[in-house]
Amino acid sequence: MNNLLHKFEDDGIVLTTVDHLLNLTRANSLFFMLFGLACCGIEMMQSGGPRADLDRFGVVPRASPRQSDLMIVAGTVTLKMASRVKVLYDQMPEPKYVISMGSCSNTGGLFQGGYSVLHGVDRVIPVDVYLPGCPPRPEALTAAIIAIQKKIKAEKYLRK
Amino acid sequence: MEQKSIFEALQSKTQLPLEWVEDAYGPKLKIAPQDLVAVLTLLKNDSALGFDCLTNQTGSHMDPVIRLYYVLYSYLHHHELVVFCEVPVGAPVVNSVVGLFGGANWLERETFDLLGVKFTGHPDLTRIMLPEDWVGHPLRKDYVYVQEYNGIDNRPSEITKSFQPS
Repeated sequence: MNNLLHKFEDDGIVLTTVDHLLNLTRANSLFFMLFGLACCGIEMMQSGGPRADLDRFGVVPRASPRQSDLMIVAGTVTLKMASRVKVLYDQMPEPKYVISMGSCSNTGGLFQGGYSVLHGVDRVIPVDVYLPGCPPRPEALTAAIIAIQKKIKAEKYLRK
Repeated sequence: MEQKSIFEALQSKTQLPLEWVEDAYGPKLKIAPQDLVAVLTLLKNDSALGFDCLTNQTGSHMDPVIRLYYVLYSYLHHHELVVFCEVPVGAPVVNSVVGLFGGANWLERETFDLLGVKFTGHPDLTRIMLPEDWVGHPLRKDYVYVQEYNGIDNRPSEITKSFQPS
């Protein structure tokens, strides 16, 4: 072992596990699917702007579910939209994560008494992080992203 | 033209029964549903009245009738008029005004979607906002909320129920 270490001494080496390395790359290149359904969508756009700057976490929006590994459901989900949310979630490649952003997406929120409003997006797709707020500030969305990153880093990706 | 003088000018031009209503929500003209197209044609084509634009068409369920409102505006004279008629909830049928105002097309579809009013003569009277397989018309007072839609369980949760006033 010592001989091996000496062999690479000049290059500098890092000892790690493959899981850790994969999780590091996965956690820091979260491509999220744009799913702005209501006013939470405006806060989500703000989070991508220069002040909150989600890009510094490697989080960038994608317009297609096939290129995304995170779905941020931002806004009121109606019954008409619910089946579309499910279809788009199914089109995302594994492993995939979901942030339910704002009260409406969590429970139906302010509009839960409406005839067309779904009582929480977790009725159609599994949710990893519930983010309260009406709407949540960009800092809160950043915290939710960091929570997702923590979850990814704790996963045993290869031994799943 | 003043609101009241619009009514008086219209009255002098037609024999159809017209009624001027002034309530808390502002002055408006009440007509019989079968006279709808005739009155709106007159309001549009008369040079002194000149209502060339239908800004809004909507309705409200006020048992035992459905009120249908037609908000007209004149770009020529810059005056406005609200016309309404009442149809029974049991048989909500009225003539379409799409032939007169093209903009009524989607507005009438919305009223059909949410209140279930049948507009005879409408070129494409289908739902505009709710899905095509939706049952019922949500703005009716007797509408029952769906508990399940396309396999999605949408019953309110226990927490939601605890917040609702009993």
